[in-house]
Amino acid sequence: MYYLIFVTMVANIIATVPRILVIESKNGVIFSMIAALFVGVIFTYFVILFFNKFSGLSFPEILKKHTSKWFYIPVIVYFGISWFLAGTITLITYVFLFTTFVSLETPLITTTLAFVIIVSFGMLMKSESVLFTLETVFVLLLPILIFLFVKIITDSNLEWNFVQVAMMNINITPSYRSFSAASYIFIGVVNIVIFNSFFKEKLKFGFKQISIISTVGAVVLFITYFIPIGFNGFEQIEHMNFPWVSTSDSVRMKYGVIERLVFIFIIIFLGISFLSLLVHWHVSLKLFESIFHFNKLKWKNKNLTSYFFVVLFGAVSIYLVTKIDEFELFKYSSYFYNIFPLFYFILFLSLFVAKRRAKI
Amino acid sequence: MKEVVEKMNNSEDILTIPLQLGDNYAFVLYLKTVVDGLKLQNIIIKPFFELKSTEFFSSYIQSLPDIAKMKTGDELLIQLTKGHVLIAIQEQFFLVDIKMITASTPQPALMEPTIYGPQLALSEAIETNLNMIRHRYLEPSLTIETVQLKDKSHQSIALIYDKKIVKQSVLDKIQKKIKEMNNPLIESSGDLQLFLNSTKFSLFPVLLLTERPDRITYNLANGKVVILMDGSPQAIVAPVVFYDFMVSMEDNYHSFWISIFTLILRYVGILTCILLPAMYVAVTSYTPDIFRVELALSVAGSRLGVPYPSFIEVLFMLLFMEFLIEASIRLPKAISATATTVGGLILGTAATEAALTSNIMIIIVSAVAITSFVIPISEMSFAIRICRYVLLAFTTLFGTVGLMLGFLGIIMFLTNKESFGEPFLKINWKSTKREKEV
Repeated sequence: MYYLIFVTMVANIIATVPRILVIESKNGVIFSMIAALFVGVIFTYFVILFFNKFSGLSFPEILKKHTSKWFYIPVIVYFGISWFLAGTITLITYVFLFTTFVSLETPLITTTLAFVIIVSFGMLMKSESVLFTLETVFVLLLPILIFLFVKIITDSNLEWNFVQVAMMNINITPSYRSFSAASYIFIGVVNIVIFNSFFKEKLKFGFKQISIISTVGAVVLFITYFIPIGFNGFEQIEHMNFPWVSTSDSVRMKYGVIERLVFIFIIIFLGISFLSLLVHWHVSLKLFESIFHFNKLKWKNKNLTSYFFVVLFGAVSIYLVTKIDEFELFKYSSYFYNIFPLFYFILFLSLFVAKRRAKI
Repeated sequence: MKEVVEKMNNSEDILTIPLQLGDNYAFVLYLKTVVDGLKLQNIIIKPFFELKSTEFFSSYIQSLPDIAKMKTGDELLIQLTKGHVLIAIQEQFFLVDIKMITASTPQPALMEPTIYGPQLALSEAIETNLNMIRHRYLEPSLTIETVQLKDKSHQSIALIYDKKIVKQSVLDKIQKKIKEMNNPLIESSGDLQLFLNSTKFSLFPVLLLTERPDRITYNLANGKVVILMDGSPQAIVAPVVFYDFMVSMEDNYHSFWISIFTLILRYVGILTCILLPAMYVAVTSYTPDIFRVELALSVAGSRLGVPYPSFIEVLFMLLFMEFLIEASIRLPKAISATATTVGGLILGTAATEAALTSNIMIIIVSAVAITSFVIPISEMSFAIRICRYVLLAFTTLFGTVGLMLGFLGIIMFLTNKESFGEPFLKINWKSTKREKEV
C-alpha cells in the first residue's frame, strides 16, 4: 500500500511537477505546498476509509454492483483515460530526459519502444504480481535513492541562502496551478481502485499511518522544491527544463566508479518511473477491461481484448512521443494537473453514491 | 501360473520352481534377474523343507514382514517385474517382496557439496532414501504416500510431507498433477519435475531438485512436499520460491555473519553474472561517458584493434565459454582437465593477442563464468545463464535503457511465476530470515 503512494511521490520528482513549482516560485508556492500536503493527506485518508468499507472489491466491481450503467461507464472511462495519460506523461518525460542527458544519438522511438515492450508484458501480468514487482524493485532501489538524496543534500555546493530566499515568499497567497501540481504527488493512493481487491483485510489507517505519509510527503515536497533552488539560485531556476536532473548533475563523486551523480540519478529514476508507468497503465488497463469486452476479438480461444488495449496504449504513446516537444509536454501536463481536482471530485462523488446505494 | 509365464512372453529369466517334500508341494514363480537369490533361499525355500506341513508353511509365509497384497492381472505382472515372488501353496497364492536392491548405498554428495554437515547424498533406491529421511525427521506426523506411475517404467514414487504443517492447497495440486500425468516414459526425478511443471516452455525451475537429505528434512520442516522417485538419487521439493535456490545447506552450519556474508556474496554473484556482459555492451557501444574518464579511456583503449562491434565480441566470448563448460561436463574426467587447460589458454591469451577481443572482455568472461557457479542449485544457474543472453540482446537493441529495463523485465517475469500457487519471487516481511523460509 505504501509503495503505491511512495512510488508516485518519488516519480514526480523527475516529472513536470518541480518545474511547475519552480516557475510559480514567486506566486506563493510554499503556501500551496503546505495546503497540498494537508489536502493530500486528508484525501488519502478518505479514499482509504471508503475503500475499507468495500474490502476485497475493486472500484469497477463496486460501481457495477451499486450504480446504474449510464453512470459507471463514463466514470470508468474517464478514470481509465486519466490513468493512461498520467502514465504516458511519466513515460514521455523520462524519455525526453534520457535522450537529453544520456544518449543523444538514440532516437526517441527506440527508447520508447524499449519501455513499451517491457511494460506491455508487465501490464498483462496478474495484479498481484504487479504489486510484488513494485515491492521488490522499490526495496532494491530504496537504499540507492536515500544515498542519492543524502549525497545531494550534504554537497558543499548547496547554498542554503537561496533556500532561505525562497522561504521568504511564504506569505503570498497560493496559485491554483501550483496547488494542483503539488497535490498531484498524493495521487498514488488512487491506485487502490484496482488493487483493493487484494487487500482482503481492512487497511489500518490510524494516526501512525497518517504521520508516516505526511512526513514522507513533506520531505518529498521539500526536496522537490528547495534543493534545485539551493543549487541553482532562486532567480535562475525558472529557465531550466529539468531542474532536478540539472541539480544532480552538479554533484560529483570523487571516488566513485561513476563520477557524475546524474547517471546514477537517471538510472534510479528509470526504475522508479518504470514502476509508476507500470502501475498506472496496469490500473488503466484493468479499468478498460472491466467495461469493454470484445467478443469478436478471438484467436485460438483466447480473448484478445487486453492485448488490443496494450497495443493501443503502446501505439498512442509512441505516436505522442514523436509529435510532442518539450514545451508542449510541459504545457499539456500542467493542464492535466489543473484538471486533477475534478478527478478527486468525481472519485468521491461516485464512491459516495455507491456507499449510499450499498447502505453501509 | 502358466498364464503368467505366457504373459511374460516366456522370458528366459522367469523361473518356476516346484518345491516338494513328501506330499507337500508348492510352487515359486519369480524373475531371476530382480530377485535376491540368497534371501529367497533363506526365507522361503529353506523353511519349506523345515516345516512339517503346507499349513504351517502358508501361515509362516503370511507372517513374513515382506508379504505384499495379492494382486491380479497386469498389476501382478508389474509386481513380479519389480522383484516380488509369487508363491502357490496348493490353492493359495502369496506375493512376497524379495527385491534385489543394487545401488542402495548412499553416495557422497556430488552436486551440492558442503564442508560441514552430512557428506552422504541420497541413493538410487527409494527404500534406502525413505529410510534416510525417516531417520532424520522423527516427527510422527511425517506422512509417506506411495503412488505408482502409469508410464512404461511403472516406477513407484513417494510423496512425503509433514501432515501438521503442509499447505493443503499445494498438496492437493501436486496430487492432482501426479494423477493426471500420462507420459510414455519417465526416467528420473528430473524428468518427473519437468512433467509436474505446468507450462510447456519454462525457463526457471519451479521445483527444486536436491540430493541432500538434510535439505530435504529442512524443507519438510518448513511445510513443503518432497517427492522421491525410485531409481534416481534426486528428490523433488515443491513449492519453491526464488530464495530457496540461493540457499546452500552450509548456511545453517555457519555462524550468523559468515552465512550472511556468503549469502550476500551469492546475490552479488548472480547480479554480476546477469548484468556484466550486457553492461559491457552498454558502456562501450552506447554510453561510454557514464564511467569516469580514466576508466572509460582504459576500456576504449583495450578495445583498440578489435574489428567488430562490442556485442559480437561479447557473444563470441560467451559462446566459447559455454562450449568450454558444456565440454567439461560431458567429457570423461580424465580428458576434461585437458579441455579446460587448452580452452583457458585459447580464451585467455591467444584471443587477445589476435586482437579478437579486448583484455577487459577476458576479465568479464571469466568473472561471469565463475559467478555463474556461485548459485548452489545448478538448474537455477542454467536458467540464469540463459537470461544473460536475453538481457544481452535487449541491451544490444536498445542501449542503456534496454539494460535497465531488461533487468526489471526479468524481475517481473520472476514475480509473475508461481510454483503450485505460491508466488515465486516476493519479499516476505514477516519472517526475519526471509531468504530461508517459504
